[in-house]
Amino acid sequence: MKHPFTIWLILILLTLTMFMLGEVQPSSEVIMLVLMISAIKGLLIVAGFMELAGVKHLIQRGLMLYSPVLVLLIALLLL
Amino acid sequence: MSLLPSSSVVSVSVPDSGRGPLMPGDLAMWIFIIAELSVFALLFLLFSYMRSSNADLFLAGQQTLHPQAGLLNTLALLSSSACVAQAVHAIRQRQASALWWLLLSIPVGAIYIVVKLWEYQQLVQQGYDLDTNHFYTGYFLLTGFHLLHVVLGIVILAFMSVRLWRGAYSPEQMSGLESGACYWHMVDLVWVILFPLIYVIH
Repeated sequence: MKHPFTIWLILILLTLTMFMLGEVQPSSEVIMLVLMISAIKGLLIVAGFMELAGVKHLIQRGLMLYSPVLVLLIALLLL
Repeated sequence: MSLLPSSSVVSVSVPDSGRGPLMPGDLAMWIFIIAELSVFALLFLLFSYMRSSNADLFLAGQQTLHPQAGLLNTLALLSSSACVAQAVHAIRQRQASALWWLLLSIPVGAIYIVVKLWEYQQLVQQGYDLDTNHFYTGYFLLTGFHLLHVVLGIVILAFMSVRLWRGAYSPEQMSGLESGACYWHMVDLVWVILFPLIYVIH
């Protein structure tokens, strides 16, 4: 990973955006948006911080799928 | 008994099945990470199911939490992870700053522990504990389990800092450091899903 702090900055901005979304009137759309941001943050951590971007391995595929699939299941339970 | 002196043992990254970069760290650590993430996934789904069954109860419980504390903890964990990632990057570049980045990650990550214990104290003082209702059972179990992982992560970071200070890691031999770093990023990964589930989604 060449630029850990670029990923960090994106993660911080996404976190602040998510936090502000939590302050607005709750709705299904807001919940979906918050969960989508969580999935993106998870992908950034796996691909960027864990350095699994471009790695061809079963574990890499499993981890890249982790946050999107988990967030989708959570959305199905909550909405 | 090993036939080789310890200094001659070379760490080998997990080979991949084709072209492209190698998996960082040891295979054993990745299996451990997968197992841990699976347990957390089950707990998240259980919490979400309980929440969908008792929406009013969970909403009332959420009102007693401190979202700013959750936000501060998120910023602390993300920043600590970035410091660790920077340390790994610095070692590959043979930069002396690696030790300082790794050392910095410890107090930044420890902010999480301090804030979380303060949150627990606030809730207990208000009379909420593990047995109050399903929300607090889920809240204390999920965050408590995660907190244990953070504490273990801090211990691992301190151990790796000592090893780095003693010169145990180099660009050719840093599998142990990569494994520890990936464990710390896993703690981060769990929190980025836990944080909205508990604090943000109403």
